[in-house]
This record gives sequence, C-alpha cells and structure tokens, in this order.
Amino acid sequence: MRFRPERPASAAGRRRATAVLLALAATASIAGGCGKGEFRAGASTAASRTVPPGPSRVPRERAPRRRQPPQAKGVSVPLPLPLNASRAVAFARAVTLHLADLPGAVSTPKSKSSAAQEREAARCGGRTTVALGGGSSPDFHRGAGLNRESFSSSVQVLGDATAVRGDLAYASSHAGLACYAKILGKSLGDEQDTHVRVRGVRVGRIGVAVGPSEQASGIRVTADVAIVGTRVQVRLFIDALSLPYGPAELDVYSTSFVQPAPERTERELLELLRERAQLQKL
Amino acid sequence: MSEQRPDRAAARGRRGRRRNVRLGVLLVILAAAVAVLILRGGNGSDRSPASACASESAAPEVRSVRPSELSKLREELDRLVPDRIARLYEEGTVSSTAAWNDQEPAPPAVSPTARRPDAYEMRWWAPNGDDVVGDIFVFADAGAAKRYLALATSTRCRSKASRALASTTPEAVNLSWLNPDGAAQADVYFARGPRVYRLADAPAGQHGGEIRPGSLAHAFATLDVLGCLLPGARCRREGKSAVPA
Repeated sequence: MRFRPERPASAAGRRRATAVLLALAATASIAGGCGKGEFRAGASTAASRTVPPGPSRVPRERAPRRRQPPQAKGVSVPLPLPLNASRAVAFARAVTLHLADLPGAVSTPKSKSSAAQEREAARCGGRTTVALGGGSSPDFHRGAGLNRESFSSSVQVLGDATAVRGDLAYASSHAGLACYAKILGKSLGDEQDTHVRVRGVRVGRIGVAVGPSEQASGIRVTADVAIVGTRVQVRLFIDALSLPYGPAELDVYSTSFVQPAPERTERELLELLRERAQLQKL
Repeated sequence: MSEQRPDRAAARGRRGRRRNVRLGVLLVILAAAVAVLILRGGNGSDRSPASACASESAAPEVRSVRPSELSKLREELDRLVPDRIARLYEEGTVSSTAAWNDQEPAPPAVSPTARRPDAYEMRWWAPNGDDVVGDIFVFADAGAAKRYLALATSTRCRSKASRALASTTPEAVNLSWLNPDGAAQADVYFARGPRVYRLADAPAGQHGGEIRPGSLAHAFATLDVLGCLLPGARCRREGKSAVPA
C-alpha cells in the first residue's frame, strides 16, 4: 500500500514515532546480542506467564490502563515572554529526565535517527505543526537480560496549547494507529537479522492518570522477538506517553521485555517532568 | 425592662444549662473515643498504633546519600525476582519507618542533586497473587543497623505479631504480623554490617484481620529462597522454614 506523503506528521508526532522506531531497532540489536541462554531461560516461562490475580495487601496499583483514555487536556501555563527556540531548548534541558531519576540506570546517548526513518514516520499522523524547539534526554537503561528496561524523555515546545492538543490527537485515531503499526512492522522487517525475528507488531492506545486531574496519553507497541533456530520468543513492550503542558509536550518513553514498564513508574516520571516544568519558566 | 430581667436571666440560665449538657455530651463522646483508642492499643488493624510505636521507639534513620549511590541497592533487589516470574509494580526510596507503616516508596526528587534516604524498596505481584517486597536499609554503622533490626523485629509494635529465628539465613528473624492494611504478612529481616535487609510476602486472600495457623508457611519458604539470593546472606541448607508460632 502506498502512503500519502501529502499528509505530513506533526513535528512532535514524527519525532515520537522515530523514537519508537529507534527503540525497536535498539531492542532488536540487543536481542541479537544477548546470550541465547538468557532468552531460553525466560522464554518458557514468558510463554506461559499468567497475569497475577488480585492482590492481598491493598490494590494500590491494580487499576488497569483505561481502554479509552480521555482526551489529554492542557494546563494553563503563564507565558510572560514570547516563545522562541532558545527558550524552548533551555526549558527542555531543565525538564527532561536525569540519570539520578532512575536508580540503577546507565545512560547512553540518544541514537541518531536516520533520514529514512524520519521519512517513514512522517507518513502517519495528523496536523502539520512546527515545533519551536525542545530537547530529549539520553536513554537510561537498567537491568540485564529479560529484566532490562529503558526510559527516556523529551520535551517539545509548539506554538500554543491548541497545537499540542492537535498534535496528540494521533493517539485517538484508528487510522493513525493502524498506520503506525504498518510502518513499525515494515521497519522491524528491515531491522531483524539472521539471529532475531520481530513479528506480530501491534499498536494500541494507553492512558496514564497524572495527578488528580490530568491524563497522559500515548501508544503502546507490542511485538514478539524470536531467536532464530530456537523456540525462544519474548514479548517486547514500548510505551510512548505524552502529557500536554501549555504549549509544550512532555514525553516519556519506556521499553521492556516480558511485561510493560510499571505504570506507576511511568506516572511518576511524567509527574516529575511536570513538576520541573512548573519550576522552570517557559 | 426591669420585668424582663428575670426572664432574660432564666433564659441565660437555660441556655447555660443546655451548653453544659452539650459540653457534657461532647466530653463523654471524647472520653469514649479516647477509651476506644486506648483499649484497641496495638491490636487494631488501623495504622495509628504502629505509626505511633515506630516514632516512640525512635528507630534510627537511614543515611542520606547522593542519588547515584542508590543504584547498587536497586541492582541487588532487582536480582531477587526476575520480571519473567513476577510483575514489578512500584519501587523507590523509603525511610526506616517503612518496616512498620508500610509506606509506599517515594518517587524521584524534583531536584536531581537532592540527597535521598539510603534505603530502597521494590514491590512485585507474584503469579499466585502474593505481594512480595524487598528492602535494603543502610545506616551510618553496624551498631545502628543492629539497633534497627532489634526494633523492627520486636513484636511489641505490631498487630498479632510473633517471631522466630530463621532456619536458613544466619541471624535472620522471621516475623509474622498483620500489616497496616490488616493483611497477614511474613517478614524476614537480617543485618549485615550497616545494612538491614527485609523481605516481605503478603499472601493473596489473607486480609481478614487474622493470621490462620500455618497460613504463612509457604510465604516464609518463599522468602527463605529469595533471601539467599541477597549478598552476604550466607545461607545454610535446612529442611523447613521457621514459621513463627
């Protein structure tokens, strides 16, 4: 199926999709580099893993993600000075995640996205929105083997809150999600090598409540990573969550195997970005 | 006007008596409430007895450290329960009172340079529904760790608590109690140098405010296995886990 280049993605949406592509690519290479023993050990249980039943202590964190997250609403943010690129960059630098935010993690520089990936990602999405500026954190990863998880963040400053809402609308569009799934599947087909196969790419909506009244929204990509020549197969999860903050988008990304990153961790990281944003004048 | 004075005085008197009656009723209610609190003591399933007791016992506080120093604690705990076995649902720093009040771990600090308590906790849902917790508390020295261990494993500050020496980990204490949510919980504590380790398992379906005989045996067996994965546990092989009576 031919994609329609006359429907360009928003700048932030394009960057978000690119981040997901990069995460998938990195994950595929990680899987390829991992010892087969680690995957063998995990796969047999991963395949038969059951969802934990109800808790005994108190179900603090058992609320499932909402199937239909409410539309993310922006907050009123005072803008005493006109927005410009340098202020957007400074804002992003002050707000994005630090190594200290994720105990046990090590940082790796953000992978450079290729022009081809940018073009691919640009084929999905909604409105055309030009970001004034922003920035992203390094990738922070921790754990080994199937316990490995990674987090990163980014901040994009757009023209105003309306532009942000429009930019995030992709997460509630069936067509947008289907488009992402198709492109991600194709991209993964290109990424896999003789040792690793990635298949069954699915994209769905997720929402995470942030604070008493705000809602971050985004997408969850799931895929099955298989080691060629074995029966080993593990599930891969990639979450891309965005929280509107006036004319800015606060984004958190997570990648993990076997099960998604804890919702509480994602929520805490989004709340952290928001608190830092409130302390930093935009 | 002078004729109205007796009425006014009478009215004032009635109002005064009513005020006295109301005050008396309030005092009675207050006294009853205080009596209930006193009588319930540490046997209730509410949070107040444990919290008050923890503060009264003046448990030593953990050190304060740079955030980067928390990494090694997290790495040790992360090895306990692989993701393919259980589901990690929350983690973060805790204070030393977590042994009693079961507080949730704290999120990252807004300032990335802020010093943090040198104690880390991770919580998992096991496939069988058990709520499994691992903590490492780091104190200024081994003496403070031992004092903390003694206080944390005391049965006095806990509801329906009993203790026994663990069979697999030297100098470890197995503790059964009703946690602040009224759920039966198995804890294993041991100290190594300035560190105190706690592993906890609150089995599924046991939050009825009672600890049934033998109901925590499986939880203690699980904790014995997990505890031996911690550095310095120096476990010995024993047949059965020690379950407090």
